[in-house]
Order: sequence, then C-alpha cells, then structure tokens
Amino acid sequence: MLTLCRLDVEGFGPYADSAVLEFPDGPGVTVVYGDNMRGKTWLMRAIRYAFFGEVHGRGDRARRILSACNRDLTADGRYGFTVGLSLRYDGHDYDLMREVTSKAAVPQSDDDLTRTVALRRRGVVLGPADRDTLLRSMLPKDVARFFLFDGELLSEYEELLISESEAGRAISEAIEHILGVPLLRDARDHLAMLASEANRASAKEASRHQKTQAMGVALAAANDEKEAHERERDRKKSEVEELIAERDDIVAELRHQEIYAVAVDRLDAARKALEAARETQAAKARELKIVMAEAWRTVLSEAVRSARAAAREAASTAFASLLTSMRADAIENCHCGTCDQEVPEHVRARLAASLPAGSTVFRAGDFRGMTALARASELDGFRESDVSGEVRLLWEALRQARIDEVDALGRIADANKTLEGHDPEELRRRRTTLTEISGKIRAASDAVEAEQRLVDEQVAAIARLNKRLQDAGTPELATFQQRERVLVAAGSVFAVAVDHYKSDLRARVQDTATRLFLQMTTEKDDYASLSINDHYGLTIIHRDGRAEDSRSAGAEQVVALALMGALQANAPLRGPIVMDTPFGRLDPHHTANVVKTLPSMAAQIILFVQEGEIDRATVRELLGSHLLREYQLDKQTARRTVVVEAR
Amino acid sequence: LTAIERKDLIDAVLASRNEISPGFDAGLLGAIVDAEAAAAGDADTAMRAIYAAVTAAMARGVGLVEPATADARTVASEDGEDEEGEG
Repeated sequence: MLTLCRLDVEGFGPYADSAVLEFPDGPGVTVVYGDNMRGKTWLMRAIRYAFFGEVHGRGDRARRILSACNRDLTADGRYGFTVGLSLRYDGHDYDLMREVTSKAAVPQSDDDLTRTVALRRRGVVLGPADRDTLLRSMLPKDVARFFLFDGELLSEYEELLISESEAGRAISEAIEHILGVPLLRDARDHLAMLASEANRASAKEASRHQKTQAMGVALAAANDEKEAHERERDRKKSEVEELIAERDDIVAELRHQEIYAVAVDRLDAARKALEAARETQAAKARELKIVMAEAWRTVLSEAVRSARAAAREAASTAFASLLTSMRADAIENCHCGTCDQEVPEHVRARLAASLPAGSTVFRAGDFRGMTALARASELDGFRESDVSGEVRLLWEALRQARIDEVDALGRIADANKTLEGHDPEELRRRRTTLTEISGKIRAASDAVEAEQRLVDEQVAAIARLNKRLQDAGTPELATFQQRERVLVAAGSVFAVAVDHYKSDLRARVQDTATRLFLQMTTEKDDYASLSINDHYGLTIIHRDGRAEDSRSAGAEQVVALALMGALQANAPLRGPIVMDTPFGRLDPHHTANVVKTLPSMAAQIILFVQEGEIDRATVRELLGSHLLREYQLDKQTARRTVVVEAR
Repeated sequence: LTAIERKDLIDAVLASRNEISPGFDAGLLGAIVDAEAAAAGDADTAMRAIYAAVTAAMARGVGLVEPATADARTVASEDGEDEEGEG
C-alpha cells in the first residue's frame, strides 16, 4: 500500500519559492483549489516527476524537463528545481528527492541539465538498484495512469470498448498488470523454463550411463535445437513487437498528422477561393467601370426631362406671345408684318376683340422663343439610360467577392496556424514508411510461426525421447524425470489459471464498477448495471436489459471513474488516487455524486479542482469527516503561485 | 499480497487444477504463487523459490503417485495445516 505524506516543490512550474502540501494520515480526501493557470496540473506533474523523473503534460504526453523550470527564475538566469515526496510504502517511511541543476549558463535542452535522485529510508540513502526496484514496485510506470490522472486521460478509456484498438490493448494490458495477472503469467513462464532445465538435466544424466547414453545425447541435441529455435522465435517476436510499436507510433502520429493533412487540403481550397474571389473582384470592377461611364445619364435623366419640358413650355409661351404681339402690331400699324398687306378696319376690330388685355407689341430682342426651342432641341439630343439595376447587381457581386476574399484569408490564416512548424511532405513519407512496416510485420510474423513449428517438432522429438528414457527406467534418471513431470504439470495448471483469474477479475471489476457507477450516475432509475468486455471496457446496461450504445461525454467520464475505483478495489497494488480537474465534463449533480463517492474509491484521494467545478461549501457538506484538508493556490504573479492551507 | 488477494489467485489456480489435473498437489501450487509474489518480478529469485518448492513437494511424494492416489492425497492435504506452508 502506497500513501503520500508530503510534497515539496521549489523552482518547479509556477512554484518559484518553496511550496509544501502535507497529506494528513488516515483515509480521506485532500482538496487543492486553484483557478485556471494557477498550477494545479504542475502539482500533479511534480508527483509524477518524483516517481519517474519525467515531466508530463495533460493526458500522458511527455514534455522537456527544461520546460518545468520556473519562468521568473530562468528570467534571472536561475535554472533548475527540486521536487521532494515523502511517502509510506508497506509500513516503511521514505523520502524521495529529485533535483535538477543546469550545467550551462543558459541551458538549451535537457542534455544541459544535471539530474539527481535520492531515496531515503529512515534517513539512509538506498543504492541505485534498490532504489529503482523499490520505485518500480511502489508505482510501476505503466499503471501510474490508474493513480494519477486528469479528465483527458479518463476520456481514453472509451478505447477499451473498441476491440481492435491498439490504445485499448495497451490500457487493457496495464489493467491486467495492476490486477496481478502477470504473477500467474510469470509463474507459467518460469515453470516452463525450469521444466526445460530439468529436461536438460535428464539428458545430461542419461548420457552418463551406457544404457541410455545415445538417448541422452539425442535429447541434449534436441533440447539445443529447440532452444535455438526458441531464441530465434523470441528474437523474431521482439522484432514484431518493435515493428508493431513503431507502426503504432506512426499510426498515432499519422492520426495526429491527419489534422495537418486536412489543414493542407483546407489551405489549398482557401487559396483557390482567394484567387477566385480576387479574379471576380477585378472582373466586376472592370464591368462596373464600364457601366459607371453611363451611370451619369441615369443620374441626370430626371433633371434633363424637367429642363426639356421647361424649355418647351418656354418656347410655346414665347411663340404664343409672338403671335399676340404680331396681332397687336397689325392693329397698331394697320399692316400685317407676315403677309405684308394692309389690315382693314373690320379685321383690326376683330383682332382687337381677340387680344388679351394688356397685350403689347414686342420690342426688338424681347422674343426668347428660339432660344428656348434651341435648348429643348439640345436636350432632346440627351440619350437617357437606366443602369441602376445593373450597377446594383455589380456592386452586390463585388461585395460578395470581397467577403469571399476575407473569408479565404481567414481560412488560410487558420490553416497556416495549424500547419505551423509542420512539413506536409513528412506526412507522405510517414505513410510510405507505414506501408513498409506493415510488410515487415507480416514477414516477421510468418518467421515467428515458422520457428514455432520447428520448436514444436523438437518438443515432439523430446517427448518421444523422454518416453524412451522413462521406459529404459534407470533409477538415477527417475528423480530428474519426476521433477520435470511436476514442473510441466504445474506449468499447465498455471497456463489455464491465467484465463480463470482474468475471468474472475472481470466479474469482480464489473460488480465493483457497477456499484460505484450507480452511486455516481444521476440516472439510477434508468440504468441497471455496467457490463465488462474482454478488454475491461464497460458498457452501460439499461433496466430494459439493452446496452446504451451512445453515451455522453459526461457519462463516459463517470464510467471511467467507476473503472478507476473498481481497479483500486480489486488490485493487489494499492495507492492514492490523485485527480486533476476531473469534473470538466460533468454537470453539478454528477459532480456532487462523484465527490460523495470519492472516499469509497481509495483510501487516499488528492483532488486538484477549480471552484468553478464545485464550490468549497458543497465539497465540505458532501465529504463531511472524509475531508481531511483543503489547500488553495494563490496567484502572486502570472509566473508565481503560493500554496496556502485553507482548512 | 493480502490474504484476500492470495486467496483469489490460488482459487483461480485450484480451479484450473481441477479442470486439468485434479490430483495435483495444492500445497505446491500455493507455494508457487507465494514464490512469485515474494520475488516481485525478479525472475531468478522466483525460479529459485519455485525449484525449492518443487523439491519439497517431491519429498512429499508429488509426482510419484498415480492420479487416483493423488486425488486422495490432495484432499487430505487441503484439509491439513501444511497447505499454505511452502515457498
């Protein structure tokens, strides 16, 4: 059983000065509150760093150790940090201290750092071998994910439901590790090795007696050959495993790179869209220029129409006045200027009667009729044109093209941001490598099978020789043969026991996870249980007996937390659960249920949380006496945080 | 290993024994589990302890008896005190 007692950090992350967290004795929950960017995750990293000497980001991604140096201190040229962890393991108290100092004035990489580690038991520093063995026993790295996790790591457990998922397979193996399956597997393998050694001893003993010498030599040779093929098979197996690991890395990278592949496609599309938008703008601007050359006519049409009407009106009035003037002149001078004849008296009288009152004779220059006519005539020459509809359409097209341009520029910027520091060509190279590796894996797997066939042939030959030796029945051989029989029989039992144990474990994990899930879910009336698959993936079973095929991110997280608790309850390896901001996907009701369930998930729970996820009063009420201590992370500057005991 | 965890592992081993070789010595199987647990992943230590457990089992007559006799021996052994004493 592993229990954390105290964490000391200095110069690590935002903890420029010494910061201490003490975890009280006894079962219960320690809660550390901190706003975003205050350094909750850095405390989780510090615990991880203490055990493994590695700095991890969110999820499980490795970061440079240099990145853990406090920025304020490095700005002053002070690089390095210390992380100390006091802990209790199997009844002994230990102090684990890791220190990082810089070999260079300004370190450029982790190679420029000096790292030291010391594990003390009752003040005595343990040797490197004991220290490393002990640290591996306390918290094996491949199962650390079940003790130290964040919301992102929890979301990975969905992979367990996908039978062909490589990530799921890796998690599944880690689960079996924490649950103790390797103990039975190791026993099976060790028994097989001892049986093989016993058989060799039989062969050696047989070759010492004349009666059985030939069989002994043949048995030794068969054993040699079998072992040679086993070595070759194992070498090929390792090769396959390495290739699979390489392939998985590339697949993971390609999955990561797919984002960039998509970004490259988007970049190309956006660039085309930008070009098209700019061409459209140029074309529409040209068209608009042409149309705008006529647009003044549209603008002036109404004014010209009015002016023309006014000129015609003026001409008409002028000519009417001229006629009146001519009649007045004929009356006044008794002579018609038009036909150059005398105007008789009775005609003048008739004309006078038809004249409007006040009519006068024009004086020279009074007549404006011709000017008005000329103006009207000029205005008649104005060609009217209505291009407003056309202009409107062109403006709209131009505006749309400008929007398209801005949009394309935005998309280009986004794609470039995604692609920052990445070479699209690398993607192609990786894909080619993946194809090559897949071919190598097939070839190496075939070689493994071929070697296994040769091993089987030798096993059959060894069995035949053993039978003959047994029949020869020398008393000297009996003990060797008896030992081998016992070892083979025990090995067979353990080989079957591995599956038995796994099956039992799955049933127990399923039961515990169901109990925890039903405590945490808010859908108690709808859900009946969790069902476990061969990979320890858990499916929610509805009360109607059917599996919930699709579940929310929040439900996913509750199921993952139930699995964490179930593993803790059923694993030989026990320790604290340290959670960093695990409630991000949960609503307040689920969060409250999870907090209430925490004390039943592990003896020691350390929770890094921001008050936006759940407030202190609620935590105090929900946990009651299970709440051992509260800390709060206070900001001094953006690069400095202090730890304050809140309760 | 806690007592409960040891029991879980041994239950799985005994269930397997009952399937494939019911007469096999339960005390030896328990001793092998204990040897592996005590060695904590150290293969050499584990194999030395298993070898010693097998030697002790052979001294008890394991491997020299016919299955029918072995069944009776196992039942007697499981009822007795020495079942968990090896390893």
